[in-house]
Amino acid sequence: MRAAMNALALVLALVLLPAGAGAVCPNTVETDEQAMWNVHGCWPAFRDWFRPYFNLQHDHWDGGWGWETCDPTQAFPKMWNSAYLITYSLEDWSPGPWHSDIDYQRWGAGSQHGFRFEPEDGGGPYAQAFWGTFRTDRVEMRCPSFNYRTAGQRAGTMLHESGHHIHKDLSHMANRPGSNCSEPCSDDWYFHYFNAYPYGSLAGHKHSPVQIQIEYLCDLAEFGESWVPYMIGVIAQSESNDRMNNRIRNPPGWTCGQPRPVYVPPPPPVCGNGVCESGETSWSCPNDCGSGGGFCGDGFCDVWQGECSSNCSSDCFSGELCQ
Amino acid sequence: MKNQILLGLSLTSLLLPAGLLAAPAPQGGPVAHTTPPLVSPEPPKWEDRRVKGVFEASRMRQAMANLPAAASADEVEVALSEALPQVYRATKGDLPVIGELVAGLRKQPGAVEAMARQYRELPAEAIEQRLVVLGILGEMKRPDAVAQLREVIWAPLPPADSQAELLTERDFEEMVQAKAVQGLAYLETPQADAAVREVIERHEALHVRVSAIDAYMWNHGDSPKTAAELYRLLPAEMHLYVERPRFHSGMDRQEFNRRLRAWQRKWGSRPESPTSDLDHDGGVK
Repeated sequence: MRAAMNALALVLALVLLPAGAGAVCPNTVETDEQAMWNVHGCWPAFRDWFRPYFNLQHDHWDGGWGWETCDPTQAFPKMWNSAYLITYSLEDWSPGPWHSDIDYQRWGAGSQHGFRFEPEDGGGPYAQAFWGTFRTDRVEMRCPSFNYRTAGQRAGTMLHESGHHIHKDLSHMANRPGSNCSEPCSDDWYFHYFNAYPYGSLAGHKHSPVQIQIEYLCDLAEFGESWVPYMIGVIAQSESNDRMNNRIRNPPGWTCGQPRPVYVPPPPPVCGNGVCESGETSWSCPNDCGSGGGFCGDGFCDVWQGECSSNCSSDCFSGELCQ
Repeated sequence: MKNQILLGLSLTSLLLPAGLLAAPAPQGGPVAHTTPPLVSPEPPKWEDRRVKGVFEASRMRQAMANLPAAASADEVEVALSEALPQVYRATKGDLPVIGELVAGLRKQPGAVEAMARQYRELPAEAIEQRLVVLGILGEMKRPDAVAQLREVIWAPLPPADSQAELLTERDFEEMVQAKAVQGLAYLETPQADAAVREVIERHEALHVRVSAIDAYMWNHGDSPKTAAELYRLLPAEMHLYVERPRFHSGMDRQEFNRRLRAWQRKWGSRPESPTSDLDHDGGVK
């Protein structure tokens, strides 16, 4: 009888334990995390916006996770760093990144896709997405995503997991020969050309979780703002290429960045200086390059000019549908 | 027996409301689908709130300026102990200052040995720092770095054991080896080129081989002659990695798309439709 009562008391304690009262991930000090923190300096206006937008809630991130702190050794401030990168880090000049800040920001926003980000003091994968009947739609961010992983890599993980909620029919698929996975872990690549659709219109275009992660990491490495910590860019490029080679079943056909040991990217072209520089076009900068615009047969699907697969099949693939 | 029944009923009444018998419970929160709160879709306008003086370019410059003309490895190492922490704090905008550091190190006879020592002292899990140090070592473009770079490239790899969400120790070691390959290829000497071709032909990791192909092509001007050389060197299943376009900030977008289209026609299957038939706005499913 006594043993039964003890067992019952234990169960009661476990069930009634208040949320957030469990263990938290160890706080770790990383140079790049501090460097990222120094960029925004604990900006409360951004914190107050990103908490509900990405959907991080007080009852999960308080109690040792750092909900109220400005200490970037704790988990919540590390999420803050990553959300900041997703929201502001890309130069959106044209031709710029694969997708714009606003595309990635909408993609990763838990509030827009009906899930929330929660911390979890377990090991295993960096994060895991859950949904379905009798479950709260959520992404659990686990300790490996907070310890010795840069804010940029964590941002990629957030976008990856969000991808599971956006495209619930996709699962990680079978391996390609030569992959370094020992179990099913490769995603398909849903092919699109650069600027296949204008910035701000990523929504509705299928990307596998690893694909959106690769595109974001490469964009961060190549088109990161000048304030992005250097080390964050270095490992973003490395992870982008590693995942392309080891986590994608059908190779995307391109590689991220130039293979120079320390690559100093050129400054972006200056539209309006009277010189049609590399990277400028008649569409992106008619002042410098004239207003001729794209044309059918130029090898580029100029969707903003109404080109699509039915009226210009030489430039546009079947996926690039007419509006 | 009666106690067991009572205990069972108690447990059932406690667990059922939480849904624990039906499915794994969420951690730390009620089991309910939450209605997305009404939030402002627009973030606050970006403000430059950077903390000043975090990256001390003058400190890095001074450490290098204090070095004698032909400093020993020990002396360079002292300077690096001042300079490298600054590099780790640098932003992308500080890259020209890192370029100055590399130019200064390139002239120092003891710099390769000093950098190699710094690399060896880094903990294995400090991947970003290992990548940065190897990058600087490679960017120094010193022929005497071949042995150090080869040592990194051919270090035994951990066994493959992975899943999609988690990069393993092997992934990180492959990234490090790929960075070392970039340094080797950047040397552009006959000895280094031969060492890169050896990686292309024989390395066990696909990612390292593919990175070596890309670096070899880039350092040879992406010439058709180099591509032909690699086609002869590689088995047919590796040919698709030889002429891939690079997505980078200085690229010409039309040239990138033209090369990607050419690659797709040669190697790729018909691209799948990128248009999703799902409700992108998500919601509870």
